[in-house]
Amino acid sequence: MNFSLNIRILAVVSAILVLFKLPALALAWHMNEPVAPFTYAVILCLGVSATGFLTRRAGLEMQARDGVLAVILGWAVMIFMGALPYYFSGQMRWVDAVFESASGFTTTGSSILTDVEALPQSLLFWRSTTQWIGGMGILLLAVAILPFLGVGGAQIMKAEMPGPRKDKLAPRMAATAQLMWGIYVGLTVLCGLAYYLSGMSGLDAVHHAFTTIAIGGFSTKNASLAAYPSSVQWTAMFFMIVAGINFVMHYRLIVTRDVSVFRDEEIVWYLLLMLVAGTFCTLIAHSSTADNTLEPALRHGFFQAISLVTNTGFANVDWEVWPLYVQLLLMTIAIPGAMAGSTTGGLKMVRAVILFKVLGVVLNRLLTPERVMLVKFNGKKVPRDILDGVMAMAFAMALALLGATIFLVAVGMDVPSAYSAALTATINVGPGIGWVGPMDNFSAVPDPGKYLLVALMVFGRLEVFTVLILLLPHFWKPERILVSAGSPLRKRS
Amino acid sequence: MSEERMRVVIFGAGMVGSALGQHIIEQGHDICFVESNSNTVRAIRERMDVQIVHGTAENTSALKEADIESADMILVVTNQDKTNIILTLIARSFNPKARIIARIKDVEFLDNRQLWKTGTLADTIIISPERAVVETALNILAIQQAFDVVEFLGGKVRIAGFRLEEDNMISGKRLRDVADIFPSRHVLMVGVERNGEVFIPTGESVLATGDRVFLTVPEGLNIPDIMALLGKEYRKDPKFVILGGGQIGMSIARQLEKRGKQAVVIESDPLRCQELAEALSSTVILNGDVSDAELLGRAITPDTILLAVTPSQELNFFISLLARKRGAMQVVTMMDNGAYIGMAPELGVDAILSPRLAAVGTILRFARMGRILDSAVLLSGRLNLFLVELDRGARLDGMPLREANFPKGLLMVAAVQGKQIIVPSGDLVLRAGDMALFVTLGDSQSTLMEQFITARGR
Repeated sequence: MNFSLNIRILAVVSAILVLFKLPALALAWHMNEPVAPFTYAVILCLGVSATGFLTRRAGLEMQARDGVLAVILGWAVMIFMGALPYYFSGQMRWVDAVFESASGFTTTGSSILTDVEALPQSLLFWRSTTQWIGGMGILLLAVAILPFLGVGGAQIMKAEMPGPRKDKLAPRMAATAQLMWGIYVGLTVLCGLAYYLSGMSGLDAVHHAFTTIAIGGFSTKNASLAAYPSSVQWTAMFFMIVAGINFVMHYRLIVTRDVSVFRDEEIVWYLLLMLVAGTFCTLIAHSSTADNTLEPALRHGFFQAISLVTNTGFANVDWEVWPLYVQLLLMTIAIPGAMAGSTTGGLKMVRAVILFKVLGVVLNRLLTPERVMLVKFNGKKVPRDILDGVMAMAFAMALALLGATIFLVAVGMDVPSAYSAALTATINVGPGIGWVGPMDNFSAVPDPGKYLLVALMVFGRLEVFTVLILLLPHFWKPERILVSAGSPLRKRS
Repeated sequence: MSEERMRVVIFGAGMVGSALGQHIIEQGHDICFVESNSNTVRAIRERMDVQIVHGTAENTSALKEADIESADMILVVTNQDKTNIILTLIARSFNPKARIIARIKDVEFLDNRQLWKTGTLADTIIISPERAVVETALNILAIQQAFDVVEFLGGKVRIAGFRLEEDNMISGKRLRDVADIFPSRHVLMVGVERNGEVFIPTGESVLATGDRVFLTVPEGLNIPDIMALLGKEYRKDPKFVILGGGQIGMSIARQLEKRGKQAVVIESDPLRCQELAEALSSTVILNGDVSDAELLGRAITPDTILLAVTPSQELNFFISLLARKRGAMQVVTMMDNGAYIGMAPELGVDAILSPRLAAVGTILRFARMGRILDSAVLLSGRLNLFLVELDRGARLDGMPLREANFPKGLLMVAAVQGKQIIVPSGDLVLRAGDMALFVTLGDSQSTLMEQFITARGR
């Protein structure tokens, strides 16, 4: 373990946060809003960054284990530092500030704010910025850490996707991350322009571009996207779909003009799920009194389906007026989430498809014991260790969901609210049902519940194993059990 | 003919080489064998009227003796891939102009297109017995219950062989009288085999149950009608069972997948099963022993088309017999032993895949010479099909077919005018440049055909 390097990385994270706080600070100054929350937070961050000087001599030698630790500590520092402006503004209690910050950096989009519009513009801007930073962090995570954890199979598969270009995006991790970030920034700019042209104010366009491409779901309006004209809502739908597509595919499509990405199994299921769910929701919306004409029904039906499948969490209608079973259904389609390699939360579509295939293989084997079947994805065999990883991950998520639901019921929530709150936090969606519905918020959740949800958001965001592996005693002393040099966690990253 | 007499050098006088030689001699060309095994050399000397050189590839004096510089065509068909590759390279360097056809078994070599599509080997035709066998199998499977199928003109004309079953509608009658019940005037009977005898039927011929008949099957024909005529039951959605997941079994399964059909492959080696599962997508792979009675019971049902393609030809033969007895709809069997192939039809196993015979058939198609555009062999060469072009001033040029008076043992099966394929009738008048597909009884009859299509024949 290289602890001084870890501390150094935290100092860098802190310094980066300072950088991102400056626009919000400038905005506060420009709009004559209190600048103190930001100046205090910036000073504290700079203090932490200063530790970087103490660790200047830290060796650059880093094992994947250090990476895992750095990711967890990094996210913790981000959430802590990110909560400071909210706290110093005097608008939120500490627990709420942490919740809002965690929801931002994990791109979940749940909020404890009863009245978003009452918040100063500068604080709202910081809120949207946290989601955008979170999105960048996720992309880095996907490139640098997940490939070592086995479940990163999804990423490995992408690199091996059939097509004229079989090599990885770029030979080195840093270069790959830069490419992904480039696409991320590019998409954000495009999305912001599109919002602006379809009728948003300039500032709102920036806000929503940040939270759409990060698949976050924070809005500056209490009514979420319902506060904007339908043209804006259609734009949002398009960019949610785009943001949910694997960034490697964006690269292939844009840079190498490789149309074969549309033959990828994952993208097909992703689009299909949205199509089916959207059609169903359109029918539901159409049967409700308000939307008995075609355009609003289509717009409301598909918006909800896209928002939930991609795990964004925007809403353009109060879907709590829809029957409870439809609400539960909507929460369920969010579980697979969008595609691996995007900033979506949840299980990721590729893993959901693999789980169904495993089920199919097991059932078929019962029917014909002699039959030799493999789980294949895009026509290629999924290696045994990745299958194990996917199944273990799904199991861990289910356990967490079950445990958290019980805990939330214990602290006083009703079952649908507790279940949906736990689910929405684990898979980083945003809204739930009941107390925490799309037009409600999380302020009524008891404080212990809020801390649990913060933990769940990080647990889900870091793809489960990153957090769970810390619980292994041997993670801290791998030499004791002679972890071989071949183990992914001993590899130099 | 004499100006068209060609010199063909054949490396390797084994089963494939001698079979090829036989066909080529009968077409009136000169052959020189080069063979290293002295026993084989002796056997060929006794049997055939050919030049034969005893020697190996390293032996330049043998190559000189065979005079490959003056050869019009060189066939490289020894048993060894490596020898064949070396011989092909040597032959090409001695004779840059000749048509060279080589037999290569190794799939990996075949897939290396760069090697044989460019450079020295570029103009060489490579024939793979395995590929040829897979192609034959797919041709057979394309027409239900046929035991042999050959294609012409890219599948526009197919000739398929069937065994006449008990409840057929044509046995015991003169063909002239049953012409009306044929589902379409486009179906023509081109040959019959009865108890080992082969003839080309006329209107007066009477067929019997158990005869094996060859019919033309034009594109777009309704197969169920033909089945009813022959006393066979047509099944819309047959079950394909492939015994043996080797290279051939896998290729057949893959081709079936491409045609949207799902096959079941039974393979006994668990590791090979894994490979198959990885390489194939919709095919069902069962890991089991084909001698497992229970598994076989599930595999063989009345709607089964069974392909026995395990490496053991005895096992294939045995399972095929069993499958016939249990009423499988169709059985296709892989075997290479000449003796087995000879006796199999008597036992009801008549759809046979022989890599060697398939190689011979394919090589012959590429080895066409003179005005023969395409050719195929049926019943191990006892019936031959030739696609030819009509010369200006030939006997058939401008004459109605009824006046042509084809001799016994020669029949025009189809004619091609422009892009149109025509079933010959008495009134049909062909012109120079048209193509005709003839069936002949034995190879020597090809000379008969010459008098009708060449100007000198007049």
